[in-house]
Amino acid sequence: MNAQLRAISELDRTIHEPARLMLLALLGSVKECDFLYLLHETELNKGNLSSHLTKLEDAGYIEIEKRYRGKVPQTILRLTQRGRTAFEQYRRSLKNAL
Amino acid sequence: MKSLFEEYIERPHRYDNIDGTGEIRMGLMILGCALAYSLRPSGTGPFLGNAEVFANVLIFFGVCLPPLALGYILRKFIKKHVTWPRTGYVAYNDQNIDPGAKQRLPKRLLVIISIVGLLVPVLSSQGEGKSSIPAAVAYSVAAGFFVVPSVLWERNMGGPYRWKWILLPVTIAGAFIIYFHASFWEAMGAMMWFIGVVWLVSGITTLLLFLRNAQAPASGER
Repeated sequence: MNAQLRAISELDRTIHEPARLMLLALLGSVKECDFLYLLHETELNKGNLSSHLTKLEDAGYIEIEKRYRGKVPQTILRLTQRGRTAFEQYRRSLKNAL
Repeated sequence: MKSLFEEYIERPHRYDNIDGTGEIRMGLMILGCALAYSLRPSGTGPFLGNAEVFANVLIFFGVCLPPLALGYILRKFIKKHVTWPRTGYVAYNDQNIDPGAKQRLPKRLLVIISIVGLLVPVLSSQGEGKSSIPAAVAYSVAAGFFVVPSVLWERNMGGPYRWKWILLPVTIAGAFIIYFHASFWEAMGAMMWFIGVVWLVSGITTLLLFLRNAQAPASGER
């Protein structure tokens, strides 16, 4: 197997899924945001978004914090250092592979 | 052409002006500067550079700061009570995952400083009436001084509002009309008023469109 093909097969599958890739790209350029912002920007439905966020949290790529803004519960999301490193690594790998 | 990554990375920054608050703040800032410019002692050319420089600076900031503060407060209020409940909250940081961005920043700063460094002597010499540069060239340079930031702003922040391209011909047409009907320093002041009003109107229009198109605030969890 040549190096380019090997690079494709070694891509991080957690990030490679389009919806999760979109989420990491959005989270990577902000300090933090809430669930509503991601819902609005990605146009995913609540169930799908929640499921993808859980997978990213399980992989340690994002952290999820529940808090209140006034009386309204708010879910805050931010990229972890591990997530940032993994995303940069993924970008490099994909660039090399293509 | 931008890659998908770059497109997504820039989305939050375009989102920052989804409600027009960036333009409203910029418009108020330019109008504040225009007001300060209009209130400068008559008979002087550039605002700074005479013997009463400290008094002028104090007047300048005294007149400029209230619109700046108003823009800041207005923006925070709109974000908190209008934008975030409708389309979500975002906090920005200086970190950028684009590894090339930090390397490009010094080059961009150098270009901007060079342009300003070239512009100031041209504009000053023209205003003092001792320029060897043709007036048409100086006027074009001065018009560019106002038009170029508008183009850059539109390119970076226009985002979902495609109608904003109209700001560019409006700005250029306004610059032409003003420069053909006023002396150099009068034209500089008039341009500031004009650009400030254009940005403010664009910002308010964006805000009204945002209010019309965005969904009502979500009552549940965000």
